Order: sequence, then C-alpha cells, then structure tokens
Amino acid sequence: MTDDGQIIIRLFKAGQREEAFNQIVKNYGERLYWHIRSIVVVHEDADDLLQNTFVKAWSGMERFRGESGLYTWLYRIATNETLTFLSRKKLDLANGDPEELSGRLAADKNFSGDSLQLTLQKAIATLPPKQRAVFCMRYYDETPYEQISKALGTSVGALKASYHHAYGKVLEYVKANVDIDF
Amino acid sequence: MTEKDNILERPELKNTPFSVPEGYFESLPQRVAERIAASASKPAARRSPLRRWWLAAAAACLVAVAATALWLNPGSTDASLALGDNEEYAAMAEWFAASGAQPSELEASGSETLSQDEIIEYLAYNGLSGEYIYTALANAE
Repeated sequence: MTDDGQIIIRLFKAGQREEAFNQIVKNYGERLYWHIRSIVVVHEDADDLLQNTFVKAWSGMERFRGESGLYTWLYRIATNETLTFLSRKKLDLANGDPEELSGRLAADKNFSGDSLQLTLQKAIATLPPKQRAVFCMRYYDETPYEQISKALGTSVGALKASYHHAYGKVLEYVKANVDIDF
Repeated sequence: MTEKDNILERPELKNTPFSVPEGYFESLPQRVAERIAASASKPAARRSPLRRWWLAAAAACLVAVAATALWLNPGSTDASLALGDNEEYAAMAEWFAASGAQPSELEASGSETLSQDEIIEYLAYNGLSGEYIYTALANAE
C-alpha cells in the first residue's frame, strides 16, 4: 500500500473519519474520475459513478483490511460500478450506437476532440462493456495487465487476448470511417 | 504496413479529449459527503414476513417444476443450459483454435444467437487461457 493509503487507514481507525474521508476523495478522486470517464465518455455519467464508488467504499471502510492497497481497492470498486452501469445501458450508447454517441459528444462542451478523436470514441462505443473497459485502461492509461487483472478478476492471458481483439476492431472501424487524407 | 494501420498510435489520440466543468474536483468532497449522508438517511427497504413467505413458496414451486421437467426428459440438451457450462466453451474454443474456423462457421454450427464478440468476451472473463483465444483470433484472421 502507498504511504498515502496507510495514513488514511490510520486516520480512519483512529476515529478521524472526516479527515480520512477528505484525504480519500482528494488523493484518489481525480485519478478514479479519469479512469471512469475514459470508459463511459459522458461527464455526468462519470460523476455519478465516481460518487457511487466513494459511497460504496465509505460504507465498506470498516471491513477493509488493507491487503490490496487502498487505491487498488477503490479502483476495483470503480471498475465494477462502471461495468455494471455499461451492462445496464447496453441499449443506450454503451454497446453499439456510435451515431448517438456522436450526437451527444457534439453537444458536449466538455469534449474538445477533433474528427479523428470523435471517430475513435465511436469505435470504442461499439465494443462490449468489458472489452471496452480493458481497451480504455490499456490504451489511454497503459495500466499494467496485473492491475487490470486484480480489478476484473481475470487472468493476464485472457486480458491480453481481449485487448488484442478490441484493438483490432477499433482499428478497423477507425480506418473505415476516418475522414482524413493519408 | 500503411500509415492508416498505425493510426491508433498517433500521440494526439492518446491524450484525452475530455475536460471537466470548472471547479469540479474542488467541490467533489462536499458532493460525495452529501450523497453519503443522503444514502445513510434512506430507510432500509423491509419486506413483510408474509411477502417473504410468498417468495419462498414461489421459489420452491419453480424448483419443483424444473426438477420434474428434467426428470421427465433427462436426455434433452437445452442450448441455454449449455451456455452456462464453462467446459462447453473451453471445448468450443479449443475446436475454434484447432480448426481455424471462421466466425461464420461458428454461427452455422448452432451458435447463431451468439456473436463472435460475445463468445470471446465470455471465454476471456471465465478464466479460459488467453492462449486459446489468441490463437483462435490469429487463425480467424
């Protein structure tokens, strides 16, 4: 566990809960937010999921034994929340309607990407939820497979295969839909 | 390999095109605290004992019906049951890897309700060795 994590756990166990809470959100909020946002794309969804992550983590703090490290534990909760959300939204943008996503991003003032980045986001939106999560974790953050494995409870070999497959599909989509000259 | 084949490796694509509203992270602790307080003040949903009794009775009836159906027709192999069997999928992946079959062949062999993505996703997240899937993908390509 990092020193930050150990300090926060000590604060919590010493009864300084408000301080522990503030430290958790301050230290890990931004990292977790970008992890979630890269997968769900829309800010409002990412914000909702991030808050749910902290609510769940806080309600489980008493039972947290510190074996996996505080950030790893939070990362796992955030990933599970995100995947559950994507599975529930399968009929929405999460699994297959790149054009709807395109419309939402065009109206999103928190998206500043060019046409190539928009095409990439549309390609990612066609992936099934778990493949999408694996792709985003590797592609944007270069998260080590071992860390993804802990978050998803999946073997490293299976994750490599999943990423390889997702990368191929995203590449094919982008190549077929990109609007720039080579 | 063309420039198009390397398009995903462009550095500008790896930078996030997203931003957050001004002051978002600064106000986050307070908003999370409010949500925690709101969730703590929600009364826990309680089921009446009568409702629980009815649910238990309904579950028992379902189990009895399913057991009777299986007893009356033990030889049937329901596709939906097979879907839950990890060994079936492992065998399918092994066959897929060994034969180099195309996804369309998989569909033609009775798996028409599953896409290639769904099969791969299922295999990947149910502990199957990545080597099988990787080889299968390489063969299919």
